[in-house]
Amino acid sequence: MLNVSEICRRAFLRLPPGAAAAAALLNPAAQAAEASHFAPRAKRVVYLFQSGGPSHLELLDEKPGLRRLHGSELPDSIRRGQRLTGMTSGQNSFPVIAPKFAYRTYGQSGLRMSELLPHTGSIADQLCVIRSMHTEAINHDPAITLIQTGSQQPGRPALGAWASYGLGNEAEDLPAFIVMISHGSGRDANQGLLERLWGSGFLPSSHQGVKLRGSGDPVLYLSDPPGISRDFRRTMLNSVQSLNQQHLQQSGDPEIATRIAQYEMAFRMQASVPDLIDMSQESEATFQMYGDEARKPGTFAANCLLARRLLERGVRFVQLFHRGWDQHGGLPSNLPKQCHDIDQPQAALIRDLQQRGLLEDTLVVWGGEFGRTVYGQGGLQADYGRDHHGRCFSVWLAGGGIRGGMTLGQTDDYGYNIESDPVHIHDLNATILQCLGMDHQRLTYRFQGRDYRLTDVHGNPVKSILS
Amino acid sequence: MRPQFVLCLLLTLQVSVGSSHPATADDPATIDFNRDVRPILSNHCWSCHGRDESSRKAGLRLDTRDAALATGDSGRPAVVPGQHSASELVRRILSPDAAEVMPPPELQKPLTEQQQRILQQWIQQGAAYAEHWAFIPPRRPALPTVRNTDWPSNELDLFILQKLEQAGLQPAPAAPPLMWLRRAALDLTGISPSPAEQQQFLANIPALGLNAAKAEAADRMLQSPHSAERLAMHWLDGARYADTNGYNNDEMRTMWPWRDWVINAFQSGMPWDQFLIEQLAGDLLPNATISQKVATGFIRNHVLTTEGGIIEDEYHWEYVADRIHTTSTVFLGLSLQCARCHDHKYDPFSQRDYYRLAGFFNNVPDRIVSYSQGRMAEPLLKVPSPAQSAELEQLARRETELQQLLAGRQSAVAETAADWAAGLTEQQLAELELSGLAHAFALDETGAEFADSTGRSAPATPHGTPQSVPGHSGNALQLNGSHWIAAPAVGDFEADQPFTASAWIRTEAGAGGTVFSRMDDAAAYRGYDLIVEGGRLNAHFIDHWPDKGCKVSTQAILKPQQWHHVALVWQGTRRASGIRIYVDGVLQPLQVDNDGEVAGSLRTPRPFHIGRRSGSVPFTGTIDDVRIFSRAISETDAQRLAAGTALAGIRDLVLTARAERTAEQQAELQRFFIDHIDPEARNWRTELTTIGPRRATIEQQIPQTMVMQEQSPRRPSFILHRGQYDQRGEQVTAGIPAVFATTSTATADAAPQPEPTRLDFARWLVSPQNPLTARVAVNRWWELLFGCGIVETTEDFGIQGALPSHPELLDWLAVELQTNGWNQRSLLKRMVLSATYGQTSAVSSEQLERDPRNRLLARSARLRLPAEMLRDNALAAASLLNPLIGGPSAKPWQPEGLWEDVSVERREKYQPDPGDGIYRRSMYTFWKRTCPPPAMTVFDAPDRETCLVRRSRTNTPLQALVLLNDPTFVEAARSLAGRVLQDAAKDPARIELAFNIVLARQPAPAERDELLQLLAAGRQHFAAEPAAAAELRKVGRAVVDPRIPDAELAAWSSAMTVLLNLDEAITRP
Repeated sequence: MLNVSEICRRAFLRLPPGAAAAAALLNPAAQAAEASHFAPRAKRVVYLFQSGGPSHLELLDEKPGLRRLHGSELPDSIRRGQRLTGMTSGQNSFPVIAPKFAYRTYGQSGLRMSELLPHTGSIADQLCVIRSMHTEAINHDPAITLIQTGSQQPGRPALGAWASYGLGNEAEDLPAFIVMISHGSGRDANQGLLERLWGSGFLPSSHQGVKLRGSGDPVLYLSDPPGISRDFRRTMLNSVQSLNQQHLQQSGDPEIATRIAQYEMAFRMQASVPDLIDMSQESEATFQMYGDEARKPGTFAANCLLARRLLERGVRFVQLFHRGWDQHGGLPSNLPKQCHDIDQPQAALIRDLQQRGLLEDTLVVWGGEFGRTVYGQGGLQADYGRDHHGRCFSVWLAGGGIRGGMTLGQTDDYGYNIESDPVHIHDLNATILQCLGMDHQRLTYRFQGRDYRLTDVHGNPVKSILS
Repeated sequence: MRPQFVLCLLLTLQVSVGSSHPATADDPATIDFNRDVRPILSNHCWSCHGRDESSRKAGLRLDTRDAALATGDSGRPAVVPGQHSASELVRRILSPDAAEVMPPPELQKPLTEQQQRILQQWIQQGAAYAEHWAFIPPRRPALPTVRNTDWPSNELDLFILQKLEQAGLQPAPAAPPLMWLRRAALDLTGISPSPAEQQQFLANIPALGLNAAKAEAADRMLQSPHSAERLAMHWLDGARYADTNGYNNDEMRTMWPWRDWVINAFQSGMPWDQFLIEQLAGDLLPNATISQKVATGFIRNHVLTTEGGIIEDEYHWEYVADRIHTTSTVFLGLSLQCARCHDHKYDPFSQRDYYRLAGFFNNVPDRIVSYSQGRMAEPLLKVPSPAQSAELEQLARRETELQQLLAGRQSAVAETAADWAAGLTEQQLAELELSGLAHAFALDETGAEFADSTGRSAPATPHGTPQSVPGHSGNALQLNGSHWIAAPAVGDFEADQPFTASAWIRTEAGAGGTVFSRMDDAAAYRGYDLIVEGGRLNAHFIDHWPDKGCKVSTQAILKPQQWHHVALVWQGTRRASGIRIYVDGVLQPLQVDNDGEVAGSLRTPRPFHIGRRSGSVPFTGTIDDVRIFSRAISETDAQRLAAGTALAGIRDLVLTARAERTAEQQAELQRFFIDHIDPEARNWRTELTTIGPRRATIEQQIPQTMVMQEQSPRRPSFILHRGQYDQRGEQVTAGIPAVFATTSTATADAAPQPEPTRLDFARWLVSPQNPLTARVAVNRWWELLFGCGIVETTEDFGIQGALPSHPELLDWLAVELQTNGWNQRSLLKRMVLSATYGQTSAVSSEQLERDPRNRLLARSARLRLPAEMLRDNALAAASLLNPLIGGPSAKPWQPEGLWEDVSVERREKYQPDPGDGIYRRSMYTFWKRTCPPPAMTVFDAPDRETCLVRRSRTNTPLQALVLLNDPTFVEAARSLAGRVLQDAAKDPARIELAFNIVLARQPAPAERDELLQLLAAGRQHFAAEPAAAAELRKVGRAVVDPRIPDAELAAWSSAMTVLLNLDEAITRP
């Protein structure tokens, strides 16, 4: 008879110091960094990434003066000759375009935010909006790679991988870092996503994000093959374990003990993941809160609900990607669709986390890789578009460690340059780590002789937004 | 072994003697700078007191002895040799004052007490510095003497045993012969030995003796093509080989000719120096062959962006940086990335060194490829197979022959042509004009339909009511931008069919639009068109715009308000090079605006239009006499068309009496006769017309791959401030890092002109002066065979890297490589025949305690197989493995929808290969960088976006899910079940056979019984669940003998799944 606890105990004994016990189940070979550097404000993160670069001008950074400036040429004093992407650098005119959508006042704090985000408005007092984000990247690939990995070029671990490496796993039957992708209702994204955005880079590959999918196997290769029942799989597994146990006696290699534990863990995941995605136990009230889309696997709404279920189960880092925000053209016709995709579910997620007492130690981050230009791509058009803009954009944070009901930073009247409190992507990432109790300067991994950090040699946590 | 004694001995050795400082048992007695001091200085001091001037604090350097001994800003020397108490360094590291103590607390790198003691001792002992070991060229060390002279099999073992004896450890017993065989086969060929190979090996032992049998097996394995594949597989991560470009758009690329070059190089036993030189500079070798040029794909394997709006210069430098990073990591075991932005903080490389190296890698005439321009960046090279080359040569020979025959025909037909002309009836003359003509619209009518004057039923109907005006001949149609003519039955040609369309047109200055088209705007512009735009003509031929389509434009401006004859010719070669445009019979020089291959179809159900595309670019102007030919007309034809109203244009000639014809007219008549009538010439011409398409087909099949090439004049290299592409500093010439220049004169700073080339750089890498290349190479092979390098950080031999566990062994191997003709095979053979390699991997708890990471090699290592080999071995056990070597990458099973999740517009779809393409070796699995094969990344395969020479080796539950549930492994288990059911008669024998196939050993009775029990349980279970048994049989494609009943097969499949999932099955023993 197999004694799993004995095997696990032995597997744990080989762990390097600092690794949480549960981490061993999923990441036994992983080198875990030193535990928290200081008291964590958040234990978990859910990152609602809006891929493509949502327009800060239409959504979060109101510029009433633009109505008056509509159609006028962007002054050189604002543009300051900074580089543009090759998509608009050839334009000989840069007409200012006023957003087609109105702003409204939300919450006690009086947050001004787009009329397209009424549900999000209803949780305005939870949000900390940063209007002074900036990045030096001006194209999708480098920009999204920078915000997710701290470098514009491939090769570095993703934020979630760093979190997994730094804090280990506290979920019992699930990986520490989970990724979900949804496709926007606007036009199909003309920029790709990349495995590296949830990759482990030079960290041990057990820290790579595991995709949870809306179709097919929720976790790749999760289902037993057709014809193999759960019971018979257990019978087979008992044979595997018994034979492995015999081999362990002979060869003495502790890696076999770990293998035995991993096979048990896999067997449990085969039950825990279907349980995780089984929404039948969710109340009608929940679906009303998240909206009907939440019943459709693979939607942003369903992913938000799943995110809550993952966070409840102790998953350290839940990363959502919602595609379709790259509105070079057709912004007015596509933006409402994209906003409709996310508005109700993301508000519901925050409210739901709050109701369950999870929000206080869960950090919620919302944002894209850059903002969009105040001038129109392809000139002045009714169904206008905007090019990529890295000199300022807006994100919001909520939950563990974050002061709600505040805004940080101000941009100029064109929403083009930052006027106060600039926050670079490295600062944002340092802040996220800080919320998790980690000093971004001390969370390092040596590779090719250098102690690498998520924030390279930059970054300062934004203390003023921390509660 | 007597553990107590060993422990005492160790303590005695380690107690420091003669030191004036309190030391503990852990402190070394004699300080070795490289071993003991350098890591402390490097980790804790040099980032502020090192080479990098810009970040140096207090003017103090501690990286050279002279600087450390000098009097610093404090007025006291940091280091006073022999007097630790007089040394400022000691005072500061021991200072209790937080404002004084070094390193400063905010650096968060405090020294341990032991480190403080070591620095004091080092100063006390004279503060000797030494050059970093890896930067001193290796010299062959004397072979060590050992006490146990029986154990060593060859020189390597002496070095290992010496350390073991020093540590008081015994080598482990020898592994059983078949354990050795399985280990060596997996390491050298990637595939477990078959039962037949095991038999042969066992039979050789009594005949030859164990060592000779091993030697024979090692030779056989090393010479097998599977060994070449295995070694190539090991090379691909470092070379960041992939089948797509990476970055945002991640299009397909064709770099597999380079991958096949690597396999061939290993198969032919190419010397390592040549292997290196050809990959770095094969294009610069005298009379470089195609193969040598293909080898340079190594440098071009990097990621490539085609994202819209990318700034070219920025990415030019990213690519150069990647080439430097890859080359230095793979060949030199160095990371130079730091020096891109500033002087390296640890290793002796300046930023200047970095940009001098860049000079070797930035001179390739590559350009950013925009997304619409194709998938790979120039320079490209076509790489025909031998058969393709032979056929192309044959076609060229025949083409010349036929052209000569046709050219010589002119004089031969003088009489025949004249007779023929004389005998023509009026009706024949009329028919003649139709030669090759598919449709002709004179556009003379006004009304609801335009007639095809060839008499073919091809209705052409007007949309709107275009005005009929006097034309070039008869009437013409005046189109105002809202009229067009549609002819559904006209001009429906495939991309490989030659055809021609022509018309007379007249436009106002600046006006124009689509003359004619057959195109579907809504289907990514499939089809073709001819457009007047800005007075010039342009034409598209498109399967899918912009990636599979081409566009050309003319240079000359059409004269406004004049009739011009325009003819558009498509030669059916699928490329822009097969387009001809004639204006008034004159062939126009064409600019190629888009050179995509029309890879798929040109055909669309949308009608042929005169006057617009399917819905866009309408024509404003006058059009007359539109003709469509089902052949590519010749230049002469075009001239005739422009000169006359008829194709033939010879009506007048024929009607002119023979005697009255001028010599020119006579010649023209003969040309026409040859072109259209002469049966002999027609046969030749028919044959000629087949040559073009055939050549096009072959050309299309010939893979094109990215290679290196130099441009002239050389692109200058600048020091880039902070590594920023747009912040150029001093211009530098190409050269090797200064630290190495002292050991080599060939390419030193003061080197005479000319500026060294990439080839000089490659030759320097393999010169005897180079301290790293040979060490790095043998270290990687050591890692391949022993699981961990002698230098554990195979990617970093720099100051921050690990120190070698056996420095003399490393040097011995390196010098051996340099002096044995860079013979990799001979070294690999020596390694696998060593007693060290031949030890058992069984480990006692005592061994685990004494040397948990097995750095002293008192046993062999159990190593979980790399991702590729896991699958290959399952397929091999199942007899499913497809042994085909090389060629385009393969697509095995992969869960659906993965590519759609990440690709642009969700347009990429993964389609598993047909037939046994899904059973190719895993090193051929198609590598999409933004979505690498999921069953491989779970087993630590990298994404191949950047160079990586050492994979992690993790153990996770997701791995169990792959091995249990991936259809590849499910059908492999079923096929293995079919194999043992067929090859053995009784259950116990079948289980023995299965063990033999998978594990290369016999089962212990308890193991056999375990599987027999599972089998019994399975039979019972599946007998009760026939539907389940039938379903399991259907997973994947592999068909098992239908006479085996479902339930029996399912029970056996399950047992084989168990076997394939054993830790032992997925582990190199």
